[in-house]
Amino acid sequence: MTVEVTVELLGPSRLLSSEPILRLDLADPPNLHALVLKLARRCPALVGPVLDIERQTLAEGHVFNLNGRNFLRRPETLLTDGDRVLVLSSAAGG
Amino acid sequence: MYGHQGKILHVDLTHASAWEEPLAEEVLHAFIGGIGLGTYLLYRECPPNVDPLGPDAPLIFVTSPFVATSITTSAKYAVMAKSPLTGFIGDSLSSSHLAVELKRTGYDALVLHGACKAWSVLEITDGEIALHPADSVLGLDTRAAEIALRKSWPNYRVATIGPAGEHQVKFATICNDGRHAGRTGTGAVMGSKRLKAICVRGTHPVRVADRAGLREMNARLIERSTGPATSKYRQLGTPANLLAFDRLGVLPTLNFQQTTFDGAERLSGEELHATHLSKVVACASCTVGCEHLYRTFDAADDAEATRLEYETLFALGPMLGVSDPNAVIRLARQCDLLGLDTISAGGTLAWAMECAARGVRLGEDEVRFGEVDALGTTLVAIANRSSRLGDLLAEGSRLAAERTGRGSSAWAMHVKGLEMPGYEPRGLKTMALGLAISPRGACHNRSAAYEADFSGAVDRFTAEIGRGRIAADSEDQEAVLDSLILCKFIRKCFDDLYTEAAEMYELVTGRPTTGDDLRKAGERISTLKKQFNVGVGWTRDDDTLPERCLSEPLADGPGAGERLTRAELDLMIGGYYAARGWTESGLVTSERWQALNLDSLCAAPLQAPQAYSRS
Repeated sequence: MTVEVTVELLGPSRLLSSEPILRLDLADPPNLHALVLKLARRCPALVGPVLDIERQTLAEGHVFNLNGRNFLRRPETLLTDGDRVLVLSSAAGG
Repeated sequence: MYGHQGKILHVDLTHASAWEEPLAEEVLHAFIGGIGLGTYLLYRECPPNVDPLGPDAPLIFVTSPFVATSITTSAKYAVMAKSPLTGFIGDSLSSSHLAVELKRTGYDALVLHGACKAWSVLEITDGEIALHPADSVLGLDTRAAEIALRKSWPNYRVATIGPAGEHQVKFATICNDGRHAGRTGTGAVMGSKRLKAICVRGTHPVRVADRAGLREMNARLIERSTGPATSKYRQLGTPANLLAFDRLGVLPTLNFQQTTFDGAERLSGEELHATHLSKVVACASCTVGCEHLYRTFDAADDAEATRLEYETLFALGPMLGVSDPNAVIRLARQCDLLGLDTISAGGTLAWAMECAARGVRLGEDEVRFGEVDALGTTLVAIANRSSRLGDLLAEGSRLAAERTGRGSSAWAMHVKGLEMPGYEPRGLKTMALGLAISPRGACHNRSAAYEADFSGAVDRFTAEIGRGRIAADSEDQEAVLDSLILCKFIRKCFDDLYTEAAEMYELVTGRPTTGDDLRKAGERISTLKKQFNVGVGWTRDDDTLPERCLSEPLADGPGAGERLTRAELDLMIGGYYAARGWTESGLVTSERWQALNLDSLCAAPLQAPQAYSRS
């Protein structure tokens, strides 16, 4: 069973992709590890500056947010159908 | 002496005289420099009941031990005064070449007393001062004044006020090198002294205790300052916040009535980067280079590049319902040239717009959400106090609302009189506390409490007593950064900020220093700021948030329906006072005062705490 999530790239990550908003199907388990791998295939330019493929998570300086509410710290976090995941800079100030 | 210059230059503007005062090493190391040393000097020099715009109110410029060394991002100075906008402590930072020149005059601080008899320009060449008539630059905007003065004094750096400062607009700025000491109205204080500008030239070297060691440590810091921790600032600048804040539902819009903005995409840092970016520049001594300059594309002035930060973008865009980037860039440029703080200008205009929307007339002229045509002329009217509306808005939103009445204080979005920055407190509850208790009022620079909310370390929609410790620690850290002085944009470039900054401080000054020493200095500075406020009349009721934030739920966005109640805020404030070891009513205890050595450092205090005890 797969779940469909929407990923929106914001900040520096958006500059690296021609698609700021992507819809991704994630196979079981539909967690952030799976999302990173899928995102890397869709947007290879993100690998390195934004995506840490070895650790299957975000590179330093970036953070995930789920549905505009919670910031996700655990890559094992399971996503559900219809979730909207934001990829943001972790530098919050300014 | 290494790092510090070890003395202050006092200037009596009334009598055109000057004198030096040596600074004890004990004081310098206790308060470091910048905001810390400035707070000490303000506490010592400013009588509690002084009129902020009267001749007895001092205006203080302070550099730091790191200024004019090779340390990246260190070319900064602090301006201190009793704020005419808030009546509390007023402090502001600015950057670049003027800071270096000030330090090279051979002084750690410049304290201005009195007021000029006629509009003047103060020339400082090392320890020599002279007052010159300001007739040729009076009335000029900040850029024109700086250009004219640098023609007359080619090797000098210039700090100047614009028309807003001349007319004592309560949120007027002081401008140098195109940058601004923006918040709390120090430009009005300078204007009250009939001082249009200061031209500075210094030739004294700054001695560093361990130059080779510092070079090595600075090289590591420079490398990190160009890495992932600063990529947002280097690639997009702070305007990157706008779209992110919109998606998180914390972008204050239409005077904090909404948390998302229909025009967010159009005004976003990402879109501006693609369509309006002119160039990216850096302050003196900075390896980050965050300053993004943008062009308009719809009129004759298109060639001019204008600096935009997130705070300016939010205050002159979503807050006013303006989504046209050309209009926002143009309004930002106008504020810079007139010498107006963009956050307070936007916040005060938004208050006036809500007055219009609610049928509260402020005079012949009106400003309305989303209508840009009248805004340019209104900013000019504010800066020159040249219309009834302009004169009213020149007082800032708090006083304007008090004068207007009709319930309009309910939508004046300020804390202690300082207009709110672009962080919606109902969706960022640690930051809500940081804003409420900040000594200088609603401020995103003296507390980075939002970091906890944005990190996921806490639930940003929940209020807890433990946020008090987070807010206190954040204030102390920011106080240290503002005193060393280091740019906050490199705070994530340290593995252990206090320990590494202490090592750097020791390499510069030669004085053995630990991370705990700096941590304690941060608490000392935060405590003295508070005590200054207590001396000028602070009460527990001043630590609060605008009524709207405590009575209305969020109307839209991912946090729609979320509230921040007064009880929740009080809970967090109580936690903050407890974390500080203050009384339940927020007063500094004599135990903490002594533990921080403030009893000996401020031996003849003007406003020492009474013998309060938490028990």
